[in-house]
Amino acid sequence: MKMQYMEKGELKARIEENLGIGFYLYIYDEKGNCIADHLQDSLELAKNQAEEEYFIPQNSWMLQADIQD
Amino acid sequence: MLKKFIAHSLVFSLIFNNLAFATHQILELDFKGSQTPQRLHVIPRMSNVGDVSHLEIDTEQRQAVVYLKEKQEEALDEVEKNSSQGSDVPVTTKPVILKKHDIINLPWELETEKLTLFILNHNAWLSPLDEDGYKLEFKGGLLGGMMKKKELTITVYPGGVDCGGRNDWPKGTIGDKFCRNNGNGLGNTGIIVFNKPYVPPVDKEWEKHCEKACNPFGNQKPFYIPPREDKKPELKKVSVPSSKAPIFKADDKKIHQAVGKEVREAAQPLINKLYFNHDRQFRDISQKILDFVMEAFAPYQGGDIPQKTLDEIVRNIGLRIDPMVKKTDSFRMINPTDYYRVLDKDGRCRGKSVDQVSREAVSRTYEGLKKQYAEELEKFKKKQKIEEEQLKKLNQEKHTALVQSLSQKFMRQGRGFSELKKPFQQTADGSIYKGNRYNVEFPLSPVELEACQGKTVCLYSHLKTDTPDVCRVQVVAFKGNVVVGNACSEAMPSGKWGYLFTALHFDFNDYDSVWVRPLRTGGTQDSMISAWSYSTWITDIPIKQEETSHVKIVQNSQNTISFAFPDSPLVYPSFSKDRTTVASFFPSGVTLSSAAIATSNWAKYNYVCPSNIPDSHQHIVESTVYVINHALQEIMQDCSTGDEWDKAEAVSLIRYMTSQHLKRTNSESLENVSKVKGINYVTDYMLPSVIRYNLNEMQKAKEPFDDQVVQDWAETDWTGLVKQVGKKLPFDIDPMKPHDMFNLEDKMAGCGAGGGKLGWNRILGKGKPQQAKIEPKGQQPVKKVEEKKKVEKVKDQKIEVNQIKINNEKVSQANRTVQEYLGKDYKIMTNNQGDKIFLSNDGNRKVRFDYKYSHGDKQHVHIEEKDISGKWKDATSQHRIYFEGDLK
Repeated sequence: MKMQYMEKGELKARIEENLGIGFYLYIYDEKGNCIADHLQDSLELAKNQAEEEYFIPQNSWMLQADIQD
Repeated sequence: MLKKFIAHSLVFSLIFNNLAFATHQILELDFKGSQTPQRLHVIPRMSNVGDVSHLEIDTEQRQAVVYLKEKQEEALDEVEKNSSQGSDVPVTTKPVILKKHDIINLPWELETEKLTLFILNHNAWLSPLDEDGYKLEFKGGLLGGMMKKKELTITVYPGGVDCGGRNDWPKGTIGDKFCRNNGNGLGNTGIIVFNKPYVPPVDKEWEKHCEKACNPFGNQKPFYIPPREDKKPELKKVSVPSSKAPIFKADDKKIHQAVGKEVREAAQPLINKLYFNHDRQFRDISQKILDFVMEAFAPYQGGDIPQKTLDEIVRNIGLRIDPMVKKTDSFRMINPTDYYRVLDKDGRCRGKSVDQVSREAVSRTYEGLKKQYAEELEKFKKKQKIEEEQLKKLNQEKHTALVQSLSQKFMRQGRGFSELKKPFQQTADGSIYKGNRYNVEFPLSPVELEACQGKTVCLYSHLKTDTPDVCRVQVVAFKGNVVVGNACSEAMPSGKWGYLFTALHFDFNDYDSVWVRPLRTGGTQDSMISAWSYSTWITDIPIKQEETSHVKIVQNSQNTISFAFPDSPLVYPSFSKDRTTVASFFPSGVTLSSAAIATSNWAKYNYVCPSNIPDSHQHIVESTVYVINHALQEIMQDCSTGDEWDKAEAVSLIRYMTSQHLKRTNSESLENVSKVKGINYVTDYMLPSVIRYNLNEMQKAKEPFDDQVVQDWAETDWTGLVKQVGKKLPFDIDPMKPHDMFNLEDKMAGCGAGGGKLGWNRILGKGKPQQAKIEPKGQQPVKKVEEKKKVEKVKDQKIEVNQIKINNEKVSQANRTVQEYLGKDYKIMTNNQGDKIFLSNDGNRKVRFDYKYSHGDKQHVHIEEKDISGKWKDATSQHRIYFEGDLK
């Protein structure tokens, strides 16, 4: 499962691959509440949506593995 | 210290109205016909030079790219470094303040421009080169340079220099000049480089080419008016040594006044600079804002500002943001200045900055139209004198029509929509500007303003979009350079013809200027052209200035600021503080997100409108609130749907909406509002105007002073004209059916394609604080009507085998609705959490249930549809649709 993570200010977001289904985009507030969830067919579309609707730059995403390192 | 930095930054950002805090982006150097870099610009306009990692220079391509490095680590290093040195240099963070207009599209060799770099970290150096001139470095990286043949004047701002503890800086550098033996600096926080005028070589071939390329309007020259003769104000040099800036207590009135004066004097050059860079007409408002800011901050010079006080100040001033914050590349598309881009023979941008050219063009247009208007008015007066007796017979209605007709003429001249295709076709740099990266927008002419004075104006367009998103029409009103009113039409469904409406109330006392433009977040140039070509104004809607409201600012939990208009439930924008420092408000009744963001990028300044604003700004608040109310009313009641209305429906709905609105505003004059607006407007103005436009198109627009035209306009039997020209209209007169909108009620309620953007199901829906509790007599709530229709439709259909297990009536009804939505042969998928996803057979509609894993929220469902780009978007106005009861 591919997971990408992004944090900007108080806004956090996560993209999670659901095999055979697509890519879930989760948006969290500063308290960690999931305020929105979207399902797109591809990672690129999920990032596009994150950028358009939540102002999350495309280049701000990091792989979960990178964060743990 | 952080507060201090914020305060200083805030002061800087306000003083230098076109300064901008840097963000992470790429600096790009442009080499043009020389081995020495001569031009420096930033893409996008604000970049953080402090993030520079290294440069890559491609001499063959004549370009260079500055690469970024890890921001946080270096910032920490820098803080530690400063701390360990014990320097008296103020600690600053990494962002570098770049003066926008001096950096963007900076053609050092072309213009008499000043280059000013304010580099808070003091790590930029301007160094002489033996042969080539000067180079500008930042942390060892080359930022720019200029030929030695140009004379340089370097002026240093008072302040400190970060010498980094060194006293061995190269000769000729700032460090060499200001750093003392102990490695501390006395010198500057800013470097100003004055560049002498550059006269480009005469290139006859280029000029020949430019005759066409640089004047997209050909010989008609609607924009060509002699330039202004304003003299630039002289810059007054005032210095205030930072060492003399004591720490004052806020309650020391005398010191307050003294420091206030000192700060004002120090700010004077900056104020002059502000004037220098902007149109004179913006002076008053700029001065007032500056006065207020300087007054507010004066007591705290040299000391920390209490957070509470800072918040209070921020709330009480109109903070301005740089309009050139580009969130995504799509926002570059709506950059109005692209339109004025001047091309050289190679198709490259050349000449003045497009921003400057744009402003000058606008100014000249405005002045030119004024002149033309004066001439036309003179002719009109002569004719009026000759035909005095005849004109006396004209009633007020005919006279109004005459003014409107005049307005139409100037509108078309000023915009010249038939000429608009030229710049698109002649675009040479196809790789950058091809396709849909254009926009067209114009200020209203004085004639139009006069025609619209005291009226609520509705701009409607009929167009077809071929984009996955929306295309719309926007009206923005300015007071100075402050956006005080904005109205935007609703969104369009993709690939379909439809009507867009937007409305704004005009009042000279409130506005300096009004701009109109087709606005899109997607779309092609053709769609914009068509939007403009099919746009018509309707002005005869008298409105009484009888209602007021108030504004509250709420900072919510998502680092955004929301503006609540208790009396106007349609206004709910919120903007990220990260992007805008403080956001602006936009009184639009429709999709606020993209419209407002686009406006915030487009508008020169945006305005924060608090409830306790100082007196000097009160008029703006009042006028804005007034505009908001009326724009909203018009959008809601008059402009939100298409033509060919059923009069009975329209009357009923408008009455309903009016009564709802008046309930919210606690107005007692329901009867008066109904008389003034609404019913007559729909039937007497909107539909006739549609017809008149097409009639004029057919007749190739007779001269506006033709009495017969006026006569026709005033006395036309519109019903007869529908039959006369109906078959020749360039579009379907009934736009609703193609969108599955069967009547006005459906559309207003939010049914059908595109309807969800404005539907009052969303506006008055569940959870909205402004929802009316009592329905007016004789009126049925629209939601109930809609639900009733849905039930009737469902009854007529054969329900297939249930794929969702249900155990209560609500879910059962939801299930039927889902099946109706998906159609036959839909697919069922199960995600990793075990939740079902239903996909229509054509793959364009989807229903997602989140009840096993609802992300910590209540169980809900998503109803989505795929747009042309393949992206799934909510098909309804609600992202999550909650169900009461047990879904399991």
